[in-house]
Amino acid sequence: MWILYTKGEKLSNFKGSRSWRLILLFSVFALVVVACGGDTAEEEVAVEETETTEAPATTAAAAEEAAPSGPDGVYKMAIFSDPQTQNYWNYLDTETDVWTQYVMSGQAVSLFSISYPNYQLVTGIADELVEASTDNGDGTWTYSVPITEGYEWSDGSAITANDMVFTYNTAKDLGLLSNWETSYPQGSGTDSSAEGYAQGILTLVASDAYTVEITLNFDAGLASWQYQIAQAPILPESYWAQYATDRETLLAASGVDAPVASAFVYNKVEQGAFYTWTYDANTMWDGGTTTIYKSGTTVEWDNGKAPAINNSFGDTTGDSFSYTAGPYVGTVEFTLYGDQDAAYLAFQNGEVDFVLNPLGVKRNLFDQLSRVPGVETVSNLGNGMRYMAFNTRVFPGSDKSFRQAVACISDKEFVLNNILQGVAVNMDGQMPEALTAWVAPVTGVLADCAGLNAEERFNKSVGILQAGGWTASDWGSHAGGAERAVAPTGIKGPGGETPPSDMLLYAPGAGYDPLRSTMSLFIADWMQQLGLDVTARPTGFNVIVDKVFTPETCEDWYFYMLGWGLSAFPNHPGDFFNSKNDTCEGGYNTPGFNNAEFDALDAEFQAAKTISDAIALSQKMEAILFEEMPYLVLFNVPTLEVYRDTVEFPFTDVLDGLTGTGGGYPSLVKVQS
Amino acid sequence: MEIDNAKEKDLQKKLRRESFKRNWKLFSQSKLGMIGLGIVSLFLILALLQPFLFLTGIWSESIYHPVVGYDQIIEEKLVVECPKEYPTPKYETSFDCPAEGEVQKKMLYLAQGVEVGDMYDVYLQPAPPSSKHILGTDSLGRDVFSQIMEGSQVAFVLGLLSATLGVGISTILGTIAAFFGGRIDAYLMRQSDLVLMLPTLPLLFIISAFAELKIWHLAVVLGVLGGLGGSVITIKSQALQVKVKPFVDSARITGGSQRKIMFSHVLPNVAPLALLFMVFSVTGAIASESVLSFLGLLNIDMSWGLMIYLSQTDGFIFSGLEYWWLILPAGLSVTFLAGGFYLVGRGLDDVFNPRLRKR
Amino acid sequence: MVEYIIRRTLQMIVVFFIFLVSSYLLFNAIPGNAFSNLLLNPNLPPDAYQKVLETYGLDKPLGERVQLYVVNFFKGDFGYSYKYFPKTPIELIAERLPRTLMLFSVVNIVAFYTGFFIGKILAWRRGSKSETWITITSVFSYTVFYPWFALMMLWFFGYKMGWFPIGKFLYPEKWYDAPFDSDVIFSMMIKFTLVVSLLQFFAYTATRGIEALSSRRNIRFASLIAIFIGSYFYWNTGEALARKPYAADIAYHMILPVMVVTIVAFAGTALLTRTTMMEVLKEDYILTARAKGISQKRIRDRHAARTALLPVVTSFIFTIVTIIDGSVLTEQIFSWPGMGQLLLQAVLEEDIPVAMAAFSFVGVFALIAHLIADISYSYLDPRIRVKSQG
Repeated sequence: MWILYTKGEKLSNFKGSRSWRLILLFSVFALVVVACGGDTAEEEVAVEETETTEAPATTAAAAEEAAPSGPDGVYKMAIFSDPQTQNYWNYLDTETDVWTQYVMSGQAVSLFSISYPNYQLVTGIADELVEASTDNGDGTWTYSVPITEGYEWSDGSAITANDMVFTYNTAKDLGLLSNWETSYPQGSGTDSSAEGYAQGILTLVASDAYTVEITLNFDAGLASWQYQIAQAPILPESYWAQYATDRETLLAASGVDAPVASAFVYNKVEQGAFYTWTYDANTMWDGGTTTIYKSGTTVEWDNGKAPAINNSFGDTTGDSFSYTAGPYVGTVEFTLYGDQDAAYLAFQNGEVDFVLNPLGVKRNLFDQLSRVPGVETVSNLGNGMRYMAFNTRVFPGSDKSFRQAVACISDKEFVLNNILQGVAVNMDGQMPEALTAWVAPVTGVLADCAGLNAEERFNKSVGILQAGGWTASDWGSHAGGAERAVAPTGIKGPGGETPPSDMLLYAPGAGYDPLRSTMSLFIADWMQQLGLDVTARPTGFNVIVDKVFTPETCEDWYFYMLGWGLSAFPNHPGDFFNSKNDTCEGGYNTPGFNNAEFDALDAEFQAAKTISDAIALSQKMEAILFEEMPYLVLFNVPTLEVYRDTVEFPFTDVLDGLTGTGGGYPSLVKVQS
Repeated sequence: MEIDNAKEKDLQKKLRRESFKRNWKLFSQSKLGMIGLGIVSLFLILALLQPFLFLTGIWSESIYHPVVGYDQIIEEKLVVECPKEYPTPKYETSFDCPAEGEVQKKMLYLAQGVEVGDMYDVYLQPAPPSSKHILGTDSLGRDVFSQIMEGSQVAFVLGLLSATLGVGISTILGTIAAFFGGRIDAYLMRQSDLVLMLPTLPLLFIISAFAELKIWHLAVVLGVLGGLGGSVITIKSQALQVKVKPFVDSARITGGSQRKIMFSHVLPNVAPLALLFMVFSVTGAIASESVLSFLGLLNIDMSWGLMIYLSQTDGFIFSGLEYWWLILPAGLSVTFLAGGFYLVGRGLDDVFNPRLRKR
Repeated sequence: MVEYIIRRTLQMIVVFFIFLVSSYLLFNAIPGNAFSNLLLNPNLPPDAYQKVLETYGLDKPLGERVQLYVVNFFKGDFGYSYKYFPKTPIELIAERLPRTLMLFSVVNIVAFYTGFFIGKILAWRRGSKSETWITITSVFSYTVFYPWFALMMLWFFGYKMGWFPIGKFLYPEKWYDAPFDSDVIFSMMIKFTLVVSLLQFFAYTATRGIEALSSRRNIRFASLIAIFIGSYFYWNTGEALARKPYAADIAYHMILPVMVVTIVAFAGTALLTRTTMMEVLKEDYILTARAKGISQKRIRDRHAARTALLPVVTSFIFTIVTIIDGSVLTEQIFSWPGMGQLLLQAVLEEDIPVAMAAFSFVGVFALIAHLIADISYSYLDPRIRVKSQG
């Protein structure tokens, strides 16, 4: 700095020269730096340290290289938002986001569990998959589940039936909310027709140290037992008992040093920057080989520390592959980036190995990233759906022929393949395509109108309306080809009702989701071609949610578009369409669909005890939905993911992607040089 | 009397015309002001051109509409699989694959039964600039140039609306403060202090968090904020200077009411300064709108900020210059129009601030 | 001068109350009403519902509610964060404030000095070609679409060139074994920056009276060297030595954001310095100085710049607000988890209590910065100083 400074002084004698100006400017910059001495010193240190700063980074990288798959490696994942808590009780009690879920994963145990990528039900800490209950004859049913002896928390205390009893009692006695209410539903009463009856757990006790007895006041099916109560989280009593005095105290505990049932424990928590797990040398939670079949799983586990296991679940025949669990890394790092762009830029630079992004990479970025050397790409279908709902409580959504006509004229395939360039897959029924066994054959109007061109669709839809008793002063016409139809005029419903004018179709704006936004524009236009005054209105996501899920406003909308993410066991049609879940009473049935036959099938479905029964019932339910069309299911968006070729996953083809199912699979992943 | 009146009006007109001519001459001497005026006029032409193109049918709405337009550009491409190792005879580095006219097989993950070596119809979205779309199309097949034009309409409407509103408020408040003084003055000054030091962006965030902001709402909010802020103080001091000028005194002596003096003598003399503020506040309004739509906080169909937001959420912003037409036009438009207004303000400053005139 | 400071402080307190009341009215007037939304907190257990009702007096008339809000503000009681339940907004702010303060103070100082010096040159070179070009560049860097520009810079320097890290404020792997939180380092760095800039400021003001240009320069340079040596010893002894690598890591991460904000924020100060200095240059005493044959440089530095500094300090007050605005975006784009990012995310996720608390704090922050600038103005302005002496 000083050199330039003096130069500027000297050269100022030669004011005429042009270069002098440049140098003067430069020296002014130098002056600036000199003038703010405080910062200079700061910066000076920084510059001085830059080399040493680089050094540890390279050493860390070198260390990684030196230990290809040992427990010394570092597996780095990017997250976009601070986890909301490190306390497992708090995590399930409050409405937490996915980031919390990723960073909290693997801490608790449960009786049953699910193996990926085949979504097979397997045992957790239970000795066997107890599927049958004892009917006590007084309106209660009891499941008696043995727990494998020998499992330990990371602090060395044994995992026993008492831990589950403690967890249940805490959730019940302290009135924990949200997911605790779902995991451990509280039952009351034994007479299902009596006032105040609620399906749930009546008692949960330990009959001995390694057996739990769970008594329910209903005959639970797959949905409530195997996929709900038996998968409820269990936490260590030895640690948490000291905090379990009241809800506030329990939730306010930090939880960073709580014992876990995993090979990783928290190491450093730096709010707003990063979170690390480190390999626990004394852990028993490592190793074990899982063999995956199409619809079955074998688990072999004998690492000398944990109880030896060799169990098979489901149909273990046919093609298979195996993987052995790690951990293969000594440290798992979750680094926080302010937004996706920064995270993917850092990913391109090799600063992180994997980006935990529940929505996956955008297609264009995926395209670019796939060209970067050292980047592997993977695409999986999402376990979810995007849909448009009709409000069946108000005209015209209340009219079945209207819903059918809209479903028929809407050429989803056209929008998806042409305008949206095939970034999403058409979806007609309630089940994602990957759940092959569950997918119901498409029937009704969607099957009838499939493959028709614009003119045929228009004529057919008009036909459906006419058959449904609609009238019009002029039914309009379609000139064929890609032309818009001449819309019917003076259209009236079967009872002579005039459809309201200025109906809005709420859909997320282009910024939030260009796919739904575009789809909404087209569907609104098709409804206009049927002579109805519908406009697509891009609306904030939260505004739509507030409007359609609030009981007080359940009649204040006509159409909206949103999406659902689905769970491992597809029992969602009941949640979305059973009349007891009507949104006006606080449920998820936003269309207000009310069909006695459907409700009866759903009750049967909830009680079904085998997968094949459940599938048969689910398909019958879907047949009703195809006929009634409370939802027009739109499409399914694939989850696109990228990872550095330095990491190796045991599998990459899994419905919902690597992030959605296993949070990046930190205990299975191998990190290489 | 009648004749006198007419004469007087004529004279006034003439005077006004002359003063305009004089001012214009001064303004046109300012290089910066002229550059700014050029930029602003260019964007104004763009804003007006779009409706013209639609009305005359040169542009079809279904293709060029900035929000719901769609143009299908299909190119047949060769399906290839990129090699793991580089360089290969065909590709120098990994960024050369796929080359022009080729498409990677793994990008066709939804297409069934496509093999390497096949030809495949690829929809070009975003499509690079061509004679039909001079700035290309975005990822939904919409014309970027048309979006720029739409964005410039939004910028002008919002900027001018909020600036007019703001300057109206601050001129009236400033003159009132100068004239009545006392408590009103003290209160107005504290209020300006507050608005001045209030960080605008966080405030706008808060407002947009609770209310769905549309462009009109934003114009009103920005106008009111601008109108209550620092400009009140400056206009007040200007008005104070005018208040003691001889012609105001003479008006008072001849029995003009307070209101009349305020409106017919003081306001016109404060007006140039107000105009200056107005031009500068347009800059601020354009910037605020862009930032809010960039963060997805505005409920708006199309604007420059939204264009950047969309290219960001679609993952183009860090693609370097490969998709430059999605990133540069919108960002530069905001910068240039805001800068253009600022430069015009600088030019006007030279006109109305005689102390700075070249001697 | 003391009188002036007291008067100004009192005025600020009045402004502060206007701020509290009007921000309450704002939250209250917004459709959907933030306060009634407080009751919709999904994490609120039933008994806490009543508590919220009482805290904000939601069933009481407006006047009482305003009172309650002001009281709660001083108690630091904003309820619970929706998102980080059961943390309170104050806890979240306390965690993030040091990070923002650090970035904010450095950015402010750098941007202000850069702007002032460039403005000085601009005014002096009025009418020349370089003035036009520098002005145009300044104008466009002033009006550049900031988030876009910052993203481009991040892409260029962080990714393309690879000179600086991509966002964040530390490299996690270096902190695995750190025995303390980053906040410890941050508060240490803030103290250091504060002390060093105060020393530098004193050195500057103390030498103002020295007439001879060269000796003044030399003394200033010597003081600078002294500060350098002092800070070198500071960072190489005791506790600071152990913390040095961590501080260096943070400082390294600060370079790019500071640079980007400076490029955008210096222009405001530069343009204003130019205007005011040009006015000063037209003043009679400068003409007199010129007539006396004093060198151009000397006129610029001794006569014009000093007087022109006054309005520029005023403009600094405006710059503070601009930089607070900018820092919200900067923090978001550079993954710098400070107050601005907290506010923006609270807004995007509708975490109403946090949004309200963060907004109030940002307001108070701006207010205090404003007051400090005012006081230093009064110190610099001879009219006020002389008045208090007389």
